[in-house]
Amino acid sequence: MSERIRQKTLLLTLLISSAALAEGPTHRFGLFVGQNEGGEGTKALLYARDDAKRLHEIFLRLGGVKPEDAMLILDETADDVTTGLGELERRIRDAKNRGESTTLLFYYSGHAKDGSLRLGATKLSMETLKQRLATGPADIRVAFLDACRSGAVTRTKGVRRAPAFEVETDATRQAKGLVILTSSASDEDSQESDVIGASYFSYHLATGLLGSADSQNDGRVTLNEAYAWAYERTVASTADSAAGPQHPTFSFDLAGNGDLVLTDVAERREGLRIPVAAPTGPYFIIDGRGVVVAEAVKGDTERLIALAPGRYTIKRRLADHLRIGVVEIAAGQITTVDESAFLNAKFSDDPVKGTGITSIFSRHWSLSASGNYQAFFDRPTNAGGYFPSAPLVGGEATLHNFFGRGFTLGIDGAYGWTSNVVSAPFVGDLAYAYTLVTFGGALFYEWFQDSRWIPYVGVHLSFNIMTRTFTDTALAAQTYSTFTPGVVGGLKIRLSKNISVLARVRVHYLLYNVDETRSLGSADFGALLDYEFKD
Amino acid sequence: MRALFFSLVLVMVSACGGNWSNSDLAFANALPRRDDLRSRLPASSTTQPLEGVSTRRDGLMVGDPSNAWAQTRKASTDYNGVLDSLLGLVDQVRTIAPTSRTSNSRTWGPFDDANNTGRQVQLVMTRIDESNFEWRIDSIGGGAAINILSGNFKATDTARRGQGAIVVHVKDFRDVVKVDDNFKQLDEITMGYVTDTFPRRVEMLFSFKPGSTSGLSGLGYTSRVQQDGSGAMRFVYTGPGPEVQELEINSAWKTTGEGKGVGVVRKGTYTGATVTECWGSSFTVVHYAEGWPGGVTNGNANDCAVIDGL
Repeated sequence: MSERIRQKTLLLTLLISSAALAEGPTHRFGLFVGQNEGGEGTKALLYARDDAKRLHEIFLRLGGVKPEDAMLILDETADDVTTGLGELERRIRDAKNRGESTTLLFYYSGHAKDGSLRLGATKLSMETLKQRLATGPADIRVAFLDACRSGAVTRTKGVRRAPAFEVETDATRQAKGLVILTSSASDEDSQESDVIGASYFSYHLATGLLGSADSQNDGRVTLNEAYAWAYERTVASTADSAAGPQHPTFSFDLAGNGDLVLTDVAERREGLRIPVAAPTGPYFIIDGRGVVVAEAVKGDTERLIALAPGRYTIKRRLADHLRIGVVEIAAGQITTVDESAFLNAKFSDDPVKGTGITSIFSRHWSLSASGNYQAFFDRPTNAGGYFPSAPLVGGEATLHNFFGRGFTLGIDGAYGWTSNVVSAPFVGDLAYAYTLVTFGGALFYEWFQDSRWIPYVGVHLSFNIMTRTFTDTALAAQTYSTFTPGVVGGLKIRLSKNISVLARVRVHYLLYNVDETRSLGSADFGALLDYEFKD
Repeated sequence: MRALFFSLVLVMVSACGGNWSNSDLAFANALPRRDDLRSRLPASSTTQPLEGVSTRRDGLMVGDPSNAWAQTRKASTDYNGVLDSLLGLVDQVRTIAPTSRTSNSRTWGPFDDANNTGRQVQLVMTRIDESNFEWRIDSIGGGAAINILSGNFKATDTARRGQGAIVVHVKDFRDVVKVDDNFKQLDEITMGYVTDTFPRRVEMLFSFKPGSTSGLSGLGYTSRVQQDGSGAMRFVYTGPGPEVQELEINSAWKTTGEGKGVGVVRKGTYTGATVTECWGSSFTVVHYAEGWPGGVTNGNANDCAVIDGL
């Protein structure tokens, strides 16, 4: 631990120790906010939502926050946040009126710029928020602010630079019982990593809360321990990053309160135990995606990591090889690691893959070639119907994650043709050649972009230009042009990192208004071959 | 980029709509077509000029170029030329979409009249009931419209086939719009046609204005076409000689070229007499017979082609 970390940790410890050490029974409330978008002049973050969801889940599972006392606000506006905060404050006052001791946990992950949290296109003044928290009704108010500054943010491979915001590091004595932890100092950027699929600060905070930060090994992770863990790991993780090292900060005023236990990993009795007999040193717990979800530094005592049920790979890194084992954690049970059952592996077989989602979830283009068949919901053209069904070929350009992760914008064009016969009273049978040119735009959402099977659903607006030219050249060719709004849904199947095939259905509405006003529809069944331009 | 996008959207919005109409097809098909009414003759390589009455007076010999065929060709050419004049605009209009629509009418134009500066031409077609159409072509200028042509059509099977009539109101426009000298001699042209049965038939009647330079009060053509391509024409042939000054000829032909013309002298010394001329596939005379006293007969009448239904 560096001298700087020791100094900060010591300061925090002294401040906390100067208050009563025992925190009595308390009613905890939590507001967790994640917003990937920061509005104009910012680039979309990839993991802010996930960070908020992860912290929300941890505090519900281990932090003593009941589901009914927690709010998870994702991709909403500043008004929604202040409204949510107001609602929690109301409940807190009710609890206090009942004589309960109360704690409010406020977590934010997203952009910040020019002294404001940026929630989409809306802003929430940092100063206003601090004053709100400082004067709030809860006995203890803890704010975790993992924020990015935007505008000048530049993305580099594997790293997302995000701005810090200014937080007073001097303890303010105006308010009582307020702690603010921030992800970086005022002159630093906060960063996300695609390897861990999170921002560095929130990731280390989360792993610390799972038990990794329990330096006293008492089964409880205190504010002091969590901060110390997150600080050390964040600085270490970002030391060699292109954006430079990132130093979390705190603002502390906890007079009258004791050391604050954030999570109780022992009480949960669910997770992973690294027994005393296990070799000392770091253990990395890796989930099914290949992402390190927790780290534990095994000393002379056993360690308990409060992992959610599931299957995990555990890795130890030795001087010349890896030791790898797999454990299954069942609900309500603690699984003990048997390191002797681990297998040796080469470094090249490292199970840590990272999310690999820089390119998947980043904004990137793809091009597709499509083959479609468009069927009209109308009478057959030989029974007085207007438009025939026809095959089409086309091309599409798609900008993935344009409005945030999963939200994708596409433009497309297609050309269709067929020959047909129109039959109508006193018209007879008239043969014609039919052509269809379409230009369209789509906005859709892709689920599971990092998986092989990617379903998507959205809306599509097409401009159709339909022409029929009669074999009887004495008759005027006829055209019809119109916008056709519709919905689109499909399934993308990755064949390789860049190449996919898609099966797609579109349903459109078409208003016909020449001979009569009729609402018609069409269904397009398409198959596409897609190439994504990503690393 | 944003401006370009919105410009594109604006262009698309303004381009919405069109002329995709099954009803338009019925209207368009109810207009007469030159191609349906045209007289069609078998291909002929005969080019020699015919001297007409002087030759006829002396009688035609078997193997001579057929005079009746030559007159039929001329009549057919004249008839088709009139059709071109009357229906050229209609054919042109049909190839473009109506300018405006109501539930029972279509209007093409008004378009600028290239031949009459300051005037416009407009075709309005009205569907009277499911199968009956009326239409008219007006010349518009100086705030007033002159009815150039009016027509009606009763569709039977499809709007392409039926029975129709056209009246060209020459008297009303000959002094207002530019017309050629022939039109200036006319008061009216009426035309009736049947296209839903065989033989398809067109009757065309020219009414001359009093004192016209033609000296005629009326002149007509009748054209008939069978399904197999054989056809017939009735027309008036004017000769310079006193014996046969005006001859009404009924001429019929097969697609292979053979034909027969029977003329009735309407004016001249031999009024009421007939002359029969048959020609073969090479358009030379195979039989010739004058029905007036002293008239000559050459060739065998049995060599005349038999043409049914015309």
